[in-house]
Amino acid sequence: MRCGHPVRLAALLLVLPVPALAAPDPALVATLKRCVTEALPDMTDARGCIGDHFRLCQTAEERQHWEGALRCLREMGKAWDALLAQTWPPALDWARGTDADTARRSDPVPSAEDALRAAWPAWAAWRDAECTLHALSWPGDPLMQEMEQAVCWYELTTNRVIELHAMLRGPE
Amino acid sequence: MTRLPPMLALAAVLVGSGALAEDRPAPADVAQLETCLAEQLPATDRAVSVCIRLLAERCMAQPDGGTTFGMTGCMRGEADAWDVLLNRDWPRLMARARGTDEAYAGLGADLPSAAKTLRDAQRAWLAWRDAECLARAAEWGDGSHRHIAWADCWLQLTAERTIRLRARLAEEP
Repeated sequence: MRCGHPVRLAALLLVLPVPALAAPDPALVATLKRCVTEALPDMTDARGCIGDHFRLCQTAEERQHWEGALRCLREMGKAWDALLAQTWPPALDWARGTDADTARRSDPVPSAEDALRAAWPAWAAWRDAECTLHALSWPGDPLMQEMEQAVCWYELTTNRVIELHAMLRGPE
Repeated sequence: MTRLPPMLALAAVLVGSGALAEDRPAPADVAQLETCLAEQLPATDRAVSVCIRLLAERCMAQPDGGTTFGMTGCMRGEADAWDVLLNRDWPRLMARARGTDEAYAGLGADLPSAAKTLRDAQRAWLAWRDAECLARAAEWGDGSHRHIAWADCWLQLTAERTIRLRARLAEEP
């Protein structure tokens, strides 16, 4: 399975059969958050949370076929995306705090809040377009299209969560 | 406080701060990155860890290369070299995407255009890189390190994007 490439998610969902998933389990989201928080500032350990919890998601039988991997990619991806959404308020607080601190000491410099507000949707737009592009690299193979899209989406989302948590933690 | 103008002003200052960098990347520098990619790919993560900062570190070892202005210029200079590679690969990426569209057309599938999606993805990525690097720089407030943080972000994201797109060219049919 190739990893790491993408199309606009909304467009993809129109053409690929994506089963509806329930909202992510809050306990799972909390577990992922705790894993990342405890692992940082070691980025390698934090990235270990991605694979460790993915493996826990799959049953032994599911490890034998693509559909099992796809179920976990979607289920775990949704949980990581929920964690990403939870990161927005503290990220905004961080940016506002940075701006307030800077404003006390200097002339106006670029606003962290403005930059964050621009970066957040820009990243999501890139992720969705990129992952659609990855899916399109498999003409005539709907299962591989789904896999490629799901793997891409999972990889980009998990890495973004960890990068943001590392940023909020601040330089060591 | 009007915030956008200073943000744009900083971006303009940073983009133009090629302390030790030439206006255009030297062909030898671009060739060195090409060689590194040829040696490391298809191991993408390896290429990311080995090839990025290859030029900047050498540049920063030069006199004045360790100053804020020097470091910023060195990193910006290498980012420009990666940009040359990205632009060099772009026509092949678009040709590949058009080929994908033709393959889908032959299947009668009603899917989004790969060529359009590639352009959309690249535009979205550019918008994200610009905003992300300003956010990372803003973390340092008015400290001089914000210039280095911005240049480091710009280099890292530009180089990673180039490497991952190059890897796609190598792996796809």
